[in-house]
Amino acid sequence: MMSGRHDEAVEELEKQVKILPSSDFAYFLLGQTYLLKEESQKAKESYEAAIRIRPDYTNAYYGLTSVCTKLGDREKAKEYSEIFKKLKAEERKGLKGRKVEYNDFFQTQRSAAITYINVGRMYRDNGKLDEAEEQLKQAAGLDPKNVICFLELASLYQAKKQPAKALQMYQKIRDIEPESPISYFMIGILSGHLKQFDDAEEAFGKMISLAPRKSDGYRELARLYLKTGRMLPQARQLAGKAVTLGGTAANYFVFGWACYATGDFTNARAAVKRAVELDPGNAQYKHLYKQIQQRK
Amino acid sequence: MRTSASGCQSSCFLRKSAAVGLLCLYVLLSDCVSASIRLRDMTKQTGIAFIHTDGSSGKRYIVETVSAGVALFDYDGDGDIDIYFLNGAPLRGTTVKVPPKNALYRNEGGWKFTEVTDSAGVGDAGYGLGVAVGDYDNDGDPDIYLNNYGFNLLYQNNGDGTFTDVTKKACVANGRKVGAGACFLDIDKDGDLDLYVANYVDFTYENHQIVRFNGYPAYVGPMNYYPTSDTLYRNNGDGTFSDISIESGIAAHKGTGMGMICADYDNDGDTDIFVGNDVAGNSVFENNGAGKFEEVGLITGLAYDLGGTAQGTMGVECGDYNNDCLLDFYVTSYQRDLATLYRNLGDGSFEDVTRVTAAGDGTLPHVTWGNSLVDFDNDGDRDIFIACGHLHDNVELFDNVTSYHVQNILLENTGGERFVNVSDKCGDGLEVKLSSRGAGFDDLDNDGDIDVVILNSRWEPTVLRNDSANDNHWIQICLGGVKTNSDGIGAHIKVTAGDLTLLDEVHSGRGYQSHYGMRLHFGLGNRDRVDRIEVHWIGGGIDVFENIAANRLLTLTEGGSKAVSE
Repeated sequence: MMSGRHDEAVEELEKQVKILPSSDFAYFLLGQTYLLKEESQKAKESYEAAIRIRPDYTNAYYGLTSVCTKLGDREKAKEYSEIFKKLKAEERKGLKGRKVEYNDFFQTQRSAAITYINVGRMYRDNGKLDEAEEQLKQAAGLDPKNVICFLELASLYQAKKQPAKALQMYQKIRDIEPESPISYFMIGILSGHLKQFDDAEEAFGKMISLAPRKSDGYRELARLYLKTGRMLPQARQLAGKAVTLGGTAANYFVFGWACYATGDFTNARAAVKRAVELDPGNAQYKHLYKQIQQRK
Repeated sequence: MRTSASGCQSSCFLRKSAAVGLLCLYVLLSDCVSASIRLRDMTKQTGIAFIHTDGSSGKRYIVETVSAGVALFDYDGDGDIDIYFLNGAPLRGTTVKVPPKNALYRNEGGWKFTEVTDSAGVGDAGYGLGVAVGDYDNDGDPDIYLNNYGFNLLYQNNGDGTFTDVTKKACVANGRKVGAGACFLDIDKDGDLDLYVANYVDFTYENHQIVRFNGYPAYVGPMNYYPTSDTLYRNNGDGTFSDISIESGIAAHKGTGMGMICADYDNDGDTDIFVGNDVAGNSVFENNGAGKFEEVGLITGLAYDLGGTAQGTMGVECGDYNNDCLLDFYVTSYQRDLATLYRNLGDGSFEDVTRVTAAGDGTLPHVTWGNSLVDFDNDGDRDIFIACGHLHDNVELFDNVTSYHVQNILLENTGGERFVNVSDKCGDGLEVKLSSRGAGFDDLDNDGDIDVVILNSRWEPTVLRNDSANDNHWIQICLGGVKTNSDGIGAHIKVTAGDLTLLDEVHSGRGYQSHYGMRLHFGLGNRDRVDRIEVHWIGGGIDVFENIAANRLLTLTEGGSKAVSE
């Protein structure tokens, strides 16, 4: 529209209002374009559609004032101009006395960051992980509070087998959203993988406190204790809690493992059997089940 | 299959040929564009030593951002256009050794200017914002009105190269307001010039505010203050004026006035008023012919841009860009608004044609100020000059798309339908990067083309000589009012040369709080004679002058039958 390609603009906007009939802005732009094309009746209909969706759409009333004047309907033009004036006055009331001038700089940065993220995803999907990383880093620089960006980066680092960097990304997410359990979960997993067991224990503990009705924190803390061969009774207790909260294959498996580690072979057998039933393709479960069976 | 392949090859060949042809045409046209207008920076050669000050000390008072305008006029009647620069003054918290003041430079010819401020007695040390020039006492010489932050000032021209401050006697001081543009006009067609004084906002030191952008201190906008109404003075014909703001209908409308112009846009024989408002709908006051005004900004389509958005209007200019003999308006604006061209539809309404004409090209990132609709290359259509520069002196710290110091913009009119941005192709005059404000456009060297003077905030001015090389013809016209005001302010002049008919109007006060162009200039293209000149004087009288050779400055006297060549 701004470059004078009005026919193309109309074509696209007509498509847009079909796809998204609730878009007041698309109808407004359509009105503007028809106005520029000097198709006043169509412009009027588009502006009217915009105000049906948003009855206080100030600029659409301005468009209606202009178009009704062009159509020679002075009564309607006057009516719309009065509404426009009233709405403008309301807007000005809101602005009066404000201490901070409107500044869209941050919004622009945030929008640019989203573009970088989308470009990064395209590179990633095409297997160009280094290029994807560059784009995502640009996004992170523009919008350092964009969690999606750090999630994408973390996922990328995991794909590149760089767990330490992935861990840093989840730590950033934790700093941005300290009440969100998911970052603690991943910090726990990755810290465990990097043999930073104290950090892992702390992270899972935090996750349990933030999401006590979710089984994952209990299970992974239990798994951490089992892997490190310490706190085995607590591990069994935690795994039992996990099974109570969610009867998943993973929960049954860790509970079975904890029972086995604490000498309770009966419960171990039953739990791991259940895990195998729920996830028959899992080789790890089958291996432990076979081990318990041999013990008999 | 062979035929098809051959046809395809032939088609490809034709396409390639066409592409090469188009490329050649483009190169040819680009060269034409680049050669059409040439503006050379002459500042250093002029001897002008004026430096603008905004009186700032880091406190960021809003008035610092909007200073100041410039006036171009022949103060001593020697036939050369002289330059009067407005200056700021120390604001609270600022100390200076030598107080700054306005400066008048006499044009000595040959691009030499001599400062005559003190001998002429026009060195006002008030905080200068807007200026208008007009012969308010009809004694044949131009007087100066200054619209300041603080008391305004009227300088009466004594006719001997000196001026006298007659503010008190004339009763036009206008209180301690933040001024803006000002214009002399004859509101009631009684033959003397009345005075419109635009006011900005209700800023005082006590209600001063600043903001922070990304943590950096910045100036507030006009929305942080209450708008104010403007002032209209009626000339009593005895050297005094009366404030008729209320009875004229002007005072009923508050705004955030900036640049302004007075023009008979509806061709009904009286002068109307267009005041640009900053972040508010522009005010358009339609004259009923007797000095009563109705505000018609919204219904004329001049209050808001195409989308109904109020712009941060700065400068207001008037001219017929498409030669349909209707006066159009061009306004400059704040960053993220396009400077906007309003086409006169001839029925009292206007249409925003900025996008379809590309008349705002290049303006979006900048704050834009002084402006013109002037034919720089004498090809018979009016081009656009836009003075640019941000008002935040630290804008680079929080905005990476603009700067405090930027290039000005020149848009060449390519035949009344579309403008082309030639800023990078028209010589070193547009390479200057400063923070410009007011700008004036007149023929400083009397060579038949329009030169440029730009006031730059906190810096020296820029003076540009028009070196456009072409064989185009031109004519310039000075009016001599007899029954009407002596400068013919408000008169419409129609010039017909062959197939070309051009319209202009005499204005006092225009653009961004500036004054220029009372000697009307018409580019004639390849037409070397003017068939007819019609002058429609503000009182209703019409004079016709015929068969005049081009390339000269004429004086047309009201009621006369012969054009006098200077």
